[in-house]
Amino acid sequence: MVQLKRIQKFLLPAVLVMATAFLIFAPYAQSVDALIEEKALSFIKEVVQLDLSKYDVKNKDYFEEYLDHTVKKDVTCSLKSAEGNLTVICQLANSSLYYCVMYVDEGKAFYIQPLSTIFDRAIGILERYKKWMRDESLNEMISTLKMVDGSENVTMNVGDWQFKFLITSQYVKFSWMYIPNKNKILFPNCLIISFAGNNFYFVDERSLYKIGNTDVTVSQTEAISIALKYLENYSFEVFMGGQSSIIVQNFTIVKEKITTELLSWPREDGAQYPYWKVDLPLDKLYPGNKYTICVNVWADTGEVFAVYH
Amino acid sequence: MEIHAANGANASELYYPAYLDSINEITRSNQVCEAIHQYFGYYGYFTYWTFWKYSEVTRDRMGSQTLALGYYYDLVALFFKGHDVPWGCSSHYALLGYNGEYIQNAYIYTKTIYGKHDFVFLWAYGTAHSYPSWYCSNCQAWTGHCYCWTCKNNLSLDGYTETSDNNLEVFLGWQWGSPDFLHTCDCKNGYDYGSFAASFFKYLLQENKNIKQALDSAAKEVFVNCASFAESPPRLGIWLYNNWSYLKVYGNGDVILP
Repeated sequence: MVQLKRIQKFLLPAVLVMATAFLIFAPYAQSVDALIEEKALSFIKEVVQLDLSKYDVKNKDYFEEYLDHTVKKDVTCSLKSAEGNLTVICQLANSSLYYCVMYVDEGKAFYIQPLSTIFDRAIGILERYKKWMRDESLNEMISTLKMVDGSENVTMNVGDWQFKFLITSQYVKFSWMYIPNKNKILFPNCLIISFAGNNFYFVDERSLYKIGNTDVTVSQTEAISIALKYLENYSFEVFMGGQSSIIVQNFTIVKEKITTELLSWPREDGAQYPYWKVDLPLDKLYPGNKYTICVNVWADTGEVFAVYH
Repeated sequence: MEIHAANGANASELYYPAYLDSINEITRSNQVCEAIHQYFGYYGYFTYWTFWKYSEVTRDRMGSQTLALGYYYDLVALFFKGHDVPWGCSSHYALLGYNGEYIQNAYIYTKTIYGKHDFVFLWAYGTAHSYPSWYCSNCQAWTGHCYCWTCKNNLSLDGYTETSDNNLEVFLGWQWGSPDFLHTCDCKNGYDYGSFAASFFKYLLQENKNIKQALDSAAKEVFVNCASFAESPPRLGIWLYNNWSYLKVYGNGDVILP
């Protein structure tokens, strides 16, 4: 009896500690999911203006992916009603929403307000997104939309952004790509609103990629010269199964067909730096079906960092 | 819409012969195929998963595996990365095994008699050609890969947008050239076409998305200024070998792999 009392004496605090730990940590683990789901649903309701009151909303899947400096979270919600079923997928990086897609699986989608023209919808989405994000920088994008009438495809540069409006048989797309005006480097940072049938796509990757610098000290001509010099004694091996490999060398580059692009690529710090992508077409098809060699040259140092063929 | 391909015992296979690839491409293909292999092994409900590479990719092995897995399993998923060439009247195609050995679609047709290859993705030149298939009396064989692998000749010709295909099969292949995994045209920083393949399987198997959703998510992840597969280079066309190449999806894009 004494022994039992002793056990009880130690057991009770232990149980209390465990219960307290459970109360502290278990809801925390659940609330992480709940917060993400709440944020996704808030976006769908406040920005897309889907009428959630008409749906039975269920969280279908939730995933986390741990990358270098980012935790990517992916939540999929199923929205069911008597007149239509939807699937909404939202992706978040470090708790910031950067991708949302809404699929109308069956029937139709219910919105809080009746749908207007595609342009008005896009403007409305951006205005509500600005409020939802408290992001005044979106004013630049909204004013761009108001400058376009939607009768034809448009590409125009406004500030550091290149705006594109594109209508095809399958989708209507509004996109803003980050292209610092000074050097016309294409960075992957973008904002996209796209409508394909009844489906809706939203991408905000303006802050997803860190910019290292935008310095371009190597000119296009210099980049081509560097690439040509690099390939002077270049060779590559083509695997031939059990037979001897073929070494491809002494190939001929068609210099008048060389093309370049100024793009960005990550370095060790994970940030984007500008580089020249130099495509050098060959005079014929070489073993391994090789017809072009691509040389990537850093635009600030002139160093070759990758070769593809 | 959710259509689960099968609930029974499922098998998956990857084939990478490496024939005709450069050393860099072989390294990258191994990374990507290994990643896909892991997705099949750890995230899907597959009781059998194998990655055949180099000298393991022979006509005999692919034939016997195709027949045996069709017999023993309820669903077989297959991914092949390599090269493909026309044979006969040029409406027929043969995958190239190790040493360039021909693995003809007509040969595969004799091994898919159980009709269990419900998911087939052939990352090689011309694998989407000649579909719907017809019986070629000159060569005495059915044309194209899709029919010979899936045994279905009524699959939707655009599984990405279809809404009425009730088949359980999906076939993905290239119309004209297939890009190397190291190809980076219109890819975001640090991504290539190998990333697109791996990402597609990540969303398909690890995140339980259907074919259409997995294509959308992978395209958004890998390509510049792209919100969906509809806006991506594999769908809109890639300029390869003096031709526009397209990734075609035949069948039911609502399928979720088990």
